Amino acid sequence: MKAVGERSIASFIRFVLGAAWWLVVVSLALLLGLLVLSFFINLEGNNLTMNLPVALDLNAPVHGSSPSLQTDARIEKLRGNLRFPVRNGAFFSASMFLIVLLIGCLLWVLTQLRHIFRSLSRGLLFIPENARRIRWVGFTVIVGELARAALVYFWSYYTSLHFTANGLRFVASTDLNGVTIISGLAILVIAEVFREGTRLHEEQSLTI
Amino acid sequence: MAIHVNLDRVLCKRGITLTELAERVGITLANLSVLKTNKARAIRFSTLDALCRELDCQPGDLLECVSREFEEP
Repeated sequence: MKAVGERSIASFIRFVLGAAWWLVVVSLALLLGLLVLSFFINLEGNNLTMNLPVALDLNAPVHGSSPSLQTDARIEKLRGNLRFPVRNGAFFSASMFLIVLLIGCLLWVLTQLRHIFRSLSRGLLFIPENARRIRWVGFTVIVGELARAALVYFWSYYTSLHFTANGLRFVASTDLNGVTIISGLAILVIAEVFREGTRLHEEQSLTI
Repeated sequence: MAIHVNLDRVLCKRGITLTELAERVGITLANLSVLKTNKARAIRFSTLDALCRELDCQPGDLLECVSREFEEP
């Protein structure tokens, strides 16, 4: 497989980026439509359900595989999804708005990556704009993950206040993904390397 | 930058145009123009050698170190 040109790795990645971009655009349009609709129609009483990530503590004794084997094991922070009918229109609209913001950030990142690949196909890869774009992608990945984790905490806190179940305790918890944060940092490092590459490229092009 | 290229002065003395020099030296007119207008960041020895050969001069005739006091901002 070639690196650039037709049927190359770059063209394959560009195709995948384009497909992902359109998928996110359609999803965002649907979510925006749902958000706008939520302000005008009464959601309560309709068959609309929400599916939220939750964290549970299970108050059930956990035994070893052998009945005689004593264990103090307990199940903590069991993660799952809670599906329930929408009763609070304001909560639904606020959640939708925050999801739209997150998906908007994802669309923005994909747009920047498409711009970078477009410049690659034009042979103008090492330009200051691309270094800036990569840096902003790195920041967005980090901030996006923090925002997503905050949203998960907000949802789990809501469910811990409004739901109970026998033997289960809903806990407010988040699932911050450290790997995503480190990936964002790696992208920032690459952005600085790219910026230096841009400087070297400019110097080389002005060497007669 | 403190190093100035006095290419236009030498060209005037030799009576050669920039276009002719570009053809003789084998550098594009655009690159030679970058050099002439002091926008270049560096010059290769091979380029300097070719310029001195065609203009029958020394590197010191083409390159001048300007005192930083008189350097344009």
